Amino acid sequence: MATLLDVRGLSTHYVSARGTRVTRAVEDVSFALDDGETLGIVGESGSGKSTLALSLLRLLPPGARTVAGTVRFDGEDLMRKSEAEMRHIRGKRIAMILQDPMASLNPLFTVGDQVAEPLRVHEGQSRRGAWERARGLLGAVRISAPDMRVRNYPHELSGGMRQRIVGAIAISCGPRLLIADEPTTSLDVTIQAQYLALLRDLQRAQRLAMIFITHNLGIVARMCDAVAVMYAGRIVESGPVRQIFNAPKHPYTRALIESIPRLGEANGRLTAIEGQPPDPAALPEGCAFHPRCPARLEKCATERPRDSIVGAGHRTACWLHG
Amino acid sequence: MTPLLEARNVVKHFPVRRGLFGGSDKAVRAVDDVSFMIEPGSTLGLVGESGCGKTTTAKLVLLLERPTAGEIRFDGESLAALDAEGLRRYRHSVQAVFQDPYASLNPRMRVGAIIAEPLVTNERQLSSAEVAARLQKVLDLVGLPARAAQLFPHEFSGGQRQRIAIARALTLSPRLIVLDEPVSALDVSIRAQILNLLKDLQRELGLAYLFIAHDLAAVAHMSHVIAVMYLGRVVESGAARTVAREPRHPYTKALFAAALPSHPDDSRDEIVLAGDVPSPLNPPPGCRFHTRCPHVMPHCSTDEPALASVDGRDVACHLYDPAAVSSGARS
Amino acid sequence: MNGSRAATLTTTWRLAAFRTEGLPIFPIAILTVLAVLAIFADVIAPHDPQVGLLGERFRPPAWQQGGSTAHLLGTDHVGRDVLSRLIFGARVSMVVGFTAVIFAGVVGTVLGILAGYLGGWVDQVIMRITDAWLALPALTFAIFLAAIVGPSEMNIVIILGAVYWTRYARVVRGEVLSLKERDYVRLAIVAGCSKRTIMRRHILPNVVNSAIVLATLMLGVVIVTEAALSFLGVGVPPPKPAWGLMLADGKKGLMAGYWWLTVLPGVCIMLMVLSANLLGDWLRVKLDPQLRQL
Repeated sequence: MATLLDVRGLSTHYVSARGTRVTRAVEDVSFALDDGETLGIVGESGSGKSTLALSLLRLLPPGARTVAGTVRFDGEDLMRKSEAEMRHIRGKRIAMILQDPMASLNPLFTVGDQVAEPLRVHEGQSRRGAWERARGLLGAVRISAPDMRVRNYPHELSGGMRQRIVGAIAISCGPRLLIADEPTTSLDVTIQAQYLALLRDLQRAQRLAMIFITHNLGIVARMCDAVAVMYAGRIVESGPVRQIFNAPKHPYTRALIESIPRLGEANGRLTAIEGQPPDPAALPEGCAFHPRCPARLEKCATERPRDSIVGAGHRTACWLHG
Repeated sequence: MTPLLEARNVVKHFPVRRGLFGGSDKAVRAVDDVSFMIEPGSTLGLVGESGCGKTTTAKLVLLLERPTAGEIRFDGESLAALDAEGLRRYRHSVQAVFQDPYASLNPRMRVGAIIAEPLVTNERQLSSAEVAARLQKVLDLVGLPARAAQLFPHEFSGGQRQRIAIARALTLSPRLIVLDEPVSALDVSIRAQILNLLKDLQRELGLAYLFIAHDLAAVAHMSHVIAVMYLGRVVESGAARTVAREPRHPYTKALFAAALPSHPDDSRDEIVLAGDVPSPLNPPPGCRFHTRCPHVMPHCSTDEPALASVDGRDVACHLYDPAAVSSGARS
Repeated sequence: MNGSRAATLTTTWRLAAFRTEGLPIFPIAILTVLAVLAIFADVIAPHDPQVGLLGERFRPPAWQQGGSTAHLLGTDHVGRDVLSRLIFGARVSMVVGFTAVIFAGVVGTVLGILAGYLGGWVDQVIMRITDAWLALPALTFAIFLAAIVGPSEMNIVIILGAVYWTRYARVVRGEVLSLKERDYVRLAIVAGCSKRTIMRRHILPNVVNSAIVLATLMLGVVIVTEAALSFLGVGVPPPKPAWGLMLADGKKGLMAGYWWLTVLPGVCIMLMVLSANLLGDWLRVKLDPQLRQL
C-alpha cells in the first residue's frame, strides 16, 4: 500500500500579538498514513491535536505559523504550495469535518446548495448537475427522503442529520483523505454509533484514508488501524492500534487506557492520573509529562526523551524505553 | 428502610405558547410519568440521550421546577407540602453539582465565599470561626489546599473547579447530591480523579447520589441502580450490574451496544438504530420507542407498555408481556 | 510569526488606534488634564472667571494682533478672561457630567436588575416606562423638565440622570436575562439564597462591567446635552461658566470675527467627549468581549 501522507518534523507555534509569548502548540510531529488507512490522533486539551489538523491543511488562524516540517501528500510537499494550489486541494483531495455541525453549515443556504458547492467549485458542475449529485450524496450518507431534504435549511434538521450533511459535503469530490476533528463529540450515543458506522462504510466504499482526531479512546478502538498519542504538542507514542491497547509503553498512554471506566468490569477504583494537563505556553522542563508520571526517573525532569522504536511500527518517546 | 428520595408518577410538561394571547395546546412533555427510588448512601444512575428528560428530572428533584403532576417524597415527606422551614431543611439535605465547571462558580467571588455560601445562607447563627473551620474541612475532603479559599475561580483548572463545586455541595452535610454530568466537560485524564473522589466521599460520608450522565461506562461504574430514560419515560430500571450486563429493553440494548468499546477486540453486537430521536413535543403514540425499535410489533404503536418486573429488573416493553412471553416472542 | 514583523504591527496599531494591548494614552491624558484643571481651577486659573473688566472686552488670544499675555486666550463680551472661564467650565462639565452619569447609572442598573431578575409585572412596568421614556427625544425632554423645575446645577444633574437612566436599564436587563440562566445562579437557588441575596451577590457584580462601559460612553452624550441646555439658556445659570453657555454668548460675536469665543469652548467640548468615547470604546473591548456588539 502506498504512503498517502508523510508528515516529518511538523512544528506550529502561536505568537502573541506583542511577540512576547510563543506557544509551541505542535512540536516536531512525524507520522505516516497509507491509502485507505485510519489513523487516530488522541490527545486532551492543550495537546495540540486540533492545531495539527489545521496545520496539515494550512488553515491556521492569524497568530499561528508552521515554523518547520514537511507534509508530503501523494508525494508533494503541501508546505511548499501556494495558496491557490492549496485551494484546489482542500475539499477536493483532502476534506475536513469539524466538531460542531451547526457552525460548519451556513444557516442562510439550503442543504442542497451547500453540498453542491464543492462540486461547482472543483469540478465546474452546472447548478442542476451539482444538485443531482447532491441528492445522490445525501442518499450515500443515509439521509431519508433526500429529494425533500435537499431543500431544507440546516436549522430544520437534527444534529445527527447535520453532521451527515457535513460528511456529504466532505466526500462530494471524492477525496483521498478525510480529516475528522472530534466529529461525534456533540452527538448522542446512538447517533454517534450510526455516524461512525456510516464513516466506516464510506471509507470502505471509497478507499478513503482517515485521520480521526479525538480525546475518546473508544472511538480509536472502534475505528482506527493506527494510533498516535499526543501530549503537550508532541507525539509520545504511536503504533498499530492493538499493540497500543495491549502493550502501551508510555506511562501517559497506559494511564489513559487504565483510567477509563469499563462496562462489565468490577467497579473498583479507577487509575487516575495526578495533576492536570500542562499549559502549552508554560511547559515543564525535560519530558512534559514528568510532573504527573508515576514512573518518572531523575533525568526526565531535565532531558527531553528521544523517539525510540519499541516494536513493529511502534514508537515512543520515554526514558523508560531507551 | 424508607427510601431517601422517592418519585411517584412525576409529570412535567412545559406549555408552548401559541398566538397572541397564549393558549397552550402544545406542550413539551419533558417528564411523563416517571417513578424511581434512591436509597440512603446509594447511587441512582439516570441514563438517556437528548430529550429524554433527565435534566428536567434533576431540576424537579432540586425544586428548581415544580411537577405538573405526581409527587416527590424526601424521607417520606412530600416536597409539595413543604413550608418555609421544611424548604430550608430540604436545601440542607439536597445539593447539586452541574456539568460546566466554568459556569458553576461566580467569577467575581472568592472560592472560600463560594464554598461557604450555602452554610452562611442557612446557618446564620454560626460564627465566622465555625464557618472557616467547616470550609477547611471540606477543602480537605476534596483534596484542595487551604489557601485555595483566597483565590478566584479563574486561577483554577476545570478539574479543580469541579472539586470546588463538590466542596460547596458538601458544606451543609447533605444526604443527597444531584450530579448532572459532573465529568463530561473535563479532560479524560481528570475524569478518573473526580469519579474516584465521588466514590470515596460516598463511602466516607454515606452520601446518596443522583448521577446523570450519557457516558454509560461511567454511570455503570458509579451506580448501584440504573434507570434508562427515553422521551420522558423510564424504559428499564434495576440493579446496575443486571441492567448493564444483560439489558432487556431494545433501547437499553442499543444504548449499551452503541457505547464505545474499551479495546479494539471488544466485540459487541452492533445494533444501529434507524432514524433520529423524536421530539418531546410530539412523542410517538403507543410505545415511544416503536419508531426506532428493531423488534417493533403491530400493537406497539397503539398500546403503551407499563413497567413490569422481568428477570430481576423493571422493563416497559411489549416483548415481555406475559402473552408475548408465552408465545415465544422473547429476543 | 516573524518577530520583527509582529513588533511593527503592534507599534502601528498602538499609535493609530489605541488598541487593546496598550493603554489608550490620548484619551486618558486629556481626561486627566481636564480633571486636574477642574479640581485645581482656583489655583490654576489666572483670573476670576465671573468678573470682567469692561475695558478689556473682546481681546483676541495672545498670538493674534491686539492680544496680550495677560489674557492668553482672549476675553469675552464683558471682559472676562476666556482661559479662566474655560478652566472653571471644565469643573462644571466634569461635575455635572460625572454626577449625572453616576446617578443615571445607579438608578438604571438597579431597575434593570429588578426588571431582568424578577420578571413578571415588575419587568412589565419598568420596561413600559423605559419604552415611553426612550420614545421621547432626550434633549427635548430635558428642556421640558428644565423649564419646569428651573435651572440650577443640581437640577441639571437630576434632569440628565432622569433622562438617561433608561439606556442603562435596557442594557443591564438584557444581561441579567442571560445571567439568570447561569449555573452559579441556579446553584445559589439550590443553596437556599433569597432573591435579594442573589441579585446583590451574583447578578450585580457581574453586570457592573457593562454598566461602567456604558457610563463612559454616556459621559460624552451627557456633556453634550448639558452644553446644549446651557446653550439654550436652560442649563447651568450664568454667571457660572459653562462651555455651552460660552458658546451661546460667543455666538453673537461670530460675525464680528471674535472666533475664539465659540471655537475654543467648542474644542473643549469636543476633546472631552472624544476622550470619553475613546476610553469607553477601549474599556468595552477590554472588560467584556461580549459587549463588542454594542
